[in-house]
Amino acid sequence: MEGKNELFQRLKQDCVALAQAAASYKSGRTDQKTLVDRLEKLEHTVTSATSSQGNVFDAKLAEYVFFPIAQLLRESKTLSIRCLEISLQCIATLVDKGWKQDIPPQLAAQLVILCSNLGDKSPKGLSFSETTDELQTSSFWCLYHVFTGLAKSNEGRKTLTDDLAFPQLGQTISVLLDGVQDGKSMEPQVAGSAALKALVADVIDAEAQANFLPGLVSRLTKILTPQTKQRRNHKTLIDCLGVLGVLLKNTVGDEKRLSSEDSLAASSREATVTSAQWKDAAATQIKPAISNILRLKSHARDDVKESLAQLCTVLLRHCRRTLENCSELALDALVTMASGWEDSAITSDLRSSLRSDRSIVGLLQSMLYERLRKLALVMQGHDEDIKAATTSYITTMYTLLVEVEADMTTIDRTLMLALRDSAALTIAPQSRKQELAMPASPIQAVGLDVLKVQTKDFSFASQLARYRGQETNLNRLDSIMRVVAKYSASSSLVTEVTKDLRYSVGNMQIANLWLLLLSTEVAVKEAHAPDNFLQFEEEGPAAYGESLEELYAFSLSTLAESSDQPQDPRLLSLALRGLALRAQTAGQDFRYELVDALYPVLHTLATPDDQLQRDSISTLDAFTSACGYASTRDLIVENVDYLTNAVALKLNAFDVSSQAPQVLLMMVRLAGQGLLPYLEDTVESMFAALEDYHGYPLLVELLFKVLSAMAEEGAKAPQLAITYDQSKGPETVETDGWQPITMEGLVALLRGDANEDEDLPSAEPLESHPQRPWKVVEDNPEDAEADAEKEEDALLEPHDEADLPPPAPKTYNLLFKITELTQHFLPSASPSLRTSLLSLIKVTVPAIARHENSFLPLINTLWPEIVARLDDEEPFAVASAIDVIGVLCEYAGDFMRSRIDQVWPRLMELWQATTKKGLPKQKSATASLDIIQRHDKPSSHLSHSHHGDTSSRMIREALESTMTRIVHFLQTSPEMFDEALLVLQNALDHTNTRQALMQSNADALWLTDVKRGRTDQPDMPPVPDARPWEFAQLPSVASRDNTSYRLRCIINGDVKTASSDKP
Amino acid sequence: MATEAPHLIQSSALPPAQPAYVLRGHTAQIHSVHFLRNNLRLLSGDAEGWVALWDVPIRRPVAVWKAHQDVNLGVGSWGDDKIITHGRDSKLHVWQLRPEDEKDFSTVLPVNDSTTERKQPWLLHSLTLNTLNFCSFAMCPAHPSKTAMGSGEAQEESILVATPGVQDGFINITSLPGEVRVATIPTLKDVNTGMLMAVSILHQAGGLTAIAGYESGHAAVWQQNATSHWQTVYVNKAHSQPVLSLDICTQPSCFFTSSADAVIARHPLPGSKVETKYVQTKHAGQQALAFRSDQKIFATAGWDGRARVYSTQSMKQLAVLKWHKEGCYALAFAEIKEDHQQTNGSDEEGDAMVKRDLTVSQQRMEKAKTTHWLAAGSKDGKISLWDIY
Repeated sequence: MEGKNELFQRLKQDCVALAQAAASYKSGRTDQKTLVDRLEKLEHTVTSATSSQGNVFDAKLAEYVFFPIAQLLRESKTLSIRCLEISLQCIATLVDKGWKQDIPPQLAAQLVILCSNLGDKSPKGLSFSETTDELQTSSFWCLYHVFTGLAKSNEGRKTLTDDLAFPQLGQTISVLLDGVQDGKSMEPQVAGSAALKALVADVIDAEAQANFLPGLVSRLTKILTPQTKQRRNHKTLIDCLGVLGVLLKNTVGDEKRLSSEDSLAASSREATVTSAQWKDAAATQIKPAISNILRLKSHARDDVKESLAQLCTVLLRHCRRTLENCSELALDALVTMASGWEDSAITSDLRSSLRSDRSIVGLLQSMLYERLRKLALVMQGHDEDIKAATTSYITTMYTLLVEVEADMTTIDRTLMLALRDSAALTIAPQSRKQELAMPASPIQAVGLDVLKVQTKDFSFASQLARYRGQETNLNRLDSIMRVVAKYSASSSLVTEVTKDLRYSVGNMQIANLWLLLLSTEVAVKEAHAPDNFLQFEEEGPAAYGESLEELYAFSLSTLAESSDQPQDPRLLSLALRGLALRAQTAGQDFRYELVDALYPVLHTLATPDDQLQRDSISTLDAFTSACGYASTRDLIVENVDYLTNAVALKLNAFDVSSQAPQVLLMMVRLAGQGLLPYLEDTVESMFAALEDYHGYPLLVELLFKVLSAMAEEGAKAPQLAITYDQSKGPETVETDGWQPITMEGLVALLRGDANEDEDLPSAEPLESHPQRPWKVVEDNPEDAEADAEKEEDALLEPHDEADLPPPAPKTYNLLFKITELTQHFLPSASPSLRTSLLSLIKVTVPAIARHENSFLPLINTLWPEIVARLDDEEPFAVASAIDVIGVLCEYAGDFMRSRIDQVWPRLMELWQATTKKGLPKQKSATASLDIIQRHDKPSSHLSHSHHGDTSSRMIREALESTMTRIVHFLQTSPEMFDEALLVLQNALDHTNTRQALMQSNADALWLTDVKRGRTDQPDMPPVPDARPWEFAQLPSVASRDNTSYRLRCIINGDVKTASSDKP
Repeated sequence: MATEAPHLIQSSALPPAQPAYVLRGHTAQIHSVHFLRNNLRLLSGDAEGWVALWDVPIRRPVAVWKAHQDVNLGVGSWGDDKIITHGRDSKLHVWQLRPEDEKDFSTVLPVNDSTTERKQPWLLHSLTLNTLNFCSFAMCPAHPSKTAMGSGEAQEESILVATPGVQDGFINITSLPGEVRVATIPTLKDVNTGMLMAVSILHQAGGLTAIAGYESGHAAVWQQNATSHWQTVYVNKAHSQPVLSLDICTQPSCFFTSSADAVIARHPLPGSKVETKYVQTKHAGQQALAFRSDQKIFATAGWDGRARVYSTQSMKQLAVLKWHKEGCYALAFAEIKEDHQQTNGSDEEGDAMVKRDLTVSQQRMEKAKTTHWLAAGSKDGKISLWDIY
């Protein structure tokens, strides 16, 4: 009470002052300035009073304050805008804080009239013709407060809606709408919309609303339709949306009809206005309005969206029947808004709407259906925004439908088809050029190092996208698919795809497989997610089983298919992913599947497509970890039997793609010689392939690569390695060596046999055929007859040895066959093949030399081909051939002697060619002319000189090592030995070489050393008196170049002098 | 015979059949193959006496041992846990190898190591026979009533084993597990039959019937008369060369013989209206002949390295299975489950339902059980598995 009095005193002062001013203004004594001052003072007091002591301020005080203002307003015709504005502000405060709901109806009516007039754009009967924003704003706020006050009492509401006030009501609404629509600034629009909302929503009854409906709707539509030239304040939008919602709900809502029937006694006007017919008419007009308004769904502000969502909800829940034609629009807007805004009130509202009315569910389903039908078209377009929107729109719809447990059978089907079509269109090459981008398939070896790359995350690149646009599109489809699959592991979804999978072709099939893969992946992931364990328990752990099974079966058959036409690598990639998924799901159990699943992966690994290789490796990694192998290598080695079978069947079926040999190569390298016994029939198949396809040098080369890999591994076989040690190794041969060059031997020779047959030493090595007298030389060097006798023993010996070990293991036969086969391919046109064949022989010879019965004939078979290689165009082939000769000498020993004798001149020529490389071309050509002509390859010498140093060195080194072997393992004639010394003159420091020479002829070696200055010249022993000969002079160090000639002269001369001396 | 030619052309229009798998591991000739335990295992015996028990689903050996010191003439199974092997070392062994024991055995195949002795299964019986020829043993249940119960019954049922006797052409029948000689069947009286080459026994019309194929090319059916004497009820010389194999077909009631010559012969069993029929195949040397369990088809293993499948009804060739480069010596069909075959077409959904509950290995086992395998063992030491008809 205390406060009230005090307040009253404060107000009184201002009120009195204003009243006086008003009175004097009336009489023309005061100008408007004073009025304004006084008013402002009062307004200030009132505002501060109501804000600080709002509870004290009551209707009576309001009445008191209003009095002078009312007095002033009587002169409104002349009052300035500012004056009116402040008055209205004041009144608004009074209504808001003072009267509140107790505002006298009469006063309210008057205020409405006043404010309506003042808020009008061109008010009537005033000193000015146009209102201002401020005045409009003030009057609208004033109206707002009046309406708010009135709304709280029935009587108040009636005041405005009774028949008499009706025209004025229309006027007011019109003014408000004008203000909102055309208001120049934000403030009057906000105020106007607030007032309008207060009026329409809270004050007037349904009957009045119905009456004003057409006008209101059309004006509100204009306001709410988004326009580029004018952006409306969000508050305005929210209020207007609210008004519209209330209007529609109350006038054309479904419940309205029921309630009106309840109150039959209600006025007849209502019955006529809201008749069914009227509603139908309204509906047709409202629809375009709504569709315009719904463009707000993309408004930036969430609160606006929420209001729009409320309007939509009204349309759906309350106007489902009457405004049926708007339901779809509303639903569409709701879904659109929900799709961009997760977990919003909109979504939950929508969900409950769907739950309460199944007909909406049906509507949503058909809408989704339509959307899906257009999906492929949208995805083909170039507007990424639309694509994104469509994607999220579809997922939102789908999610909602699943959440409200709608029947998804048809939808799933359509969805799958839509996704498939979209995917197929997306991955379809856009131009012919892209289509041709498939790489040609050169045969290239897949290195083992690909297996070393261990990636633990089994990441698969996007298999389908070949360029960026595709990828984004696919990602969109992917996101839809993931959502769909998450909710629906149902078979209906999968059966659709699987049904199509096997019968579709090309991109469509790829799309189908892709979908199946994705959906299964998601289903598997969901089923294994920890929080989903309980959920899935009732369905059994294999809810995804069927699709996984289908996926696996199809993937396998796709990969295993061996058609002539190369398959689309994208399809293969997806299939690989399918296998990996199955493996990951099955875990250790997948070992049982490896019999079928492992080979196809290796097969694709051997394709030239990089992407496929990577995917294959990922798949192998997945296998490895799923099956619990330590490494991919283990995976292959432990399942090599399966691979063998697969490869053998492939080769047997004359499938001559390069993959099977590639895989075999990999297997042999990884699994080693233990695998070889199983490869017998495989090798046979390869031989058959070699026979049938010898015209394909690349394939032949690849096959031989495999064969030489087998040979290398086979040569390591313990059975063979052991027998090699037992057999006559180098040691045995050494003792068999030619050793007559000891001084004693020489003396014996000179004294005994030499006079009988001078030519013997030189004739023997040149003429003899494979004989084996060397074995016995040691025992009885002088007895030539004994040699012949012992020969039989020597020949028998290998028989004995061959009988001792168990029959040759399978590996031996394998190696033997491989080696034997090389003869047909040694003249091949491909230099690399020739070289690799020669090195293959080098590898296998030590292993197969064990069984002389078959080995020696084999040498006989191969020899001509090997010798022919000495005239090869390619120096490295020549070098290899020389090496092979050396190896043969090592393992076949003296069996080779006659052959070496024959080939010796050629070897020396080759050596000369290497040493004479600095000389003019002509000379080197003539040096080997006869051989060149014989072999009809005039170009050979040219290529020799072309290759210069490297090739010469290569050949020289090969010659040196071969000469060493020849000297070491064969008996050589003195002439040959001399020449060998010549060839080896630069290699004398090598221990092996030296040892070999030493064992054969230490004296000759010594002589060479002396000549080369490595050893001091010995003192000449004194010649016994009166002998008709003298010691030959040792060559001087300086004349090294002529070593060969001198050496021979010395020895020959020596012998000659000695023999001449004899008698 | 004239009708066979177009048929051949027809079948060769199809892509040549490929084996589903080739089991590698024996070094010596395969002389016998046999499916057991619902086709989950395959038993193979080779010329060096090695026996391998293969896990059919995963195609790997589970047990390898050297059962005999000489050629393995025949292998068979008795129930699920007993394996019978018959070698030229004059022994017939019955081994006990229960599924749960398998893990204890060596799986190293002879091809990797043919010298090391492996652990042998528990030897239940070992009969010493006079085996100088190539005739493998034959067996049937001891009591005819039990034949209806199927071979898979777990109960200890006794069996009869027929083996070549001491004298040329004689047949000894021994019961197991009692190891009691039940009968000795003499050779034909008027003919010089030579050695017994193939034998089979079955219960028919309440009595034991023995069928014998002889070196002379004769085939004979023996039955006991009222005085318990064995007498021939059928004799026929269908072949110019020794009989190599014979197998019984119960529907219609007959038996087929194959020989070193090119003829396949059908002979009636006692009481049957089937007529004797010869088919000239033009492929001499058909070492093995076997019926599938449904008896709709039979197959021969030929020295030309091919296995051939024939229709029982028409005796026409249906397929040529060519893979081996050397002669085929042994052949076996997997047992076919009749009921499964019938439901196969109609009840795919049910199948899928069942399938879903199985683990990967179970699925594989199920597949192995139901596949219509044909196993052919060859001189090259390999066994090819075919999935046909």
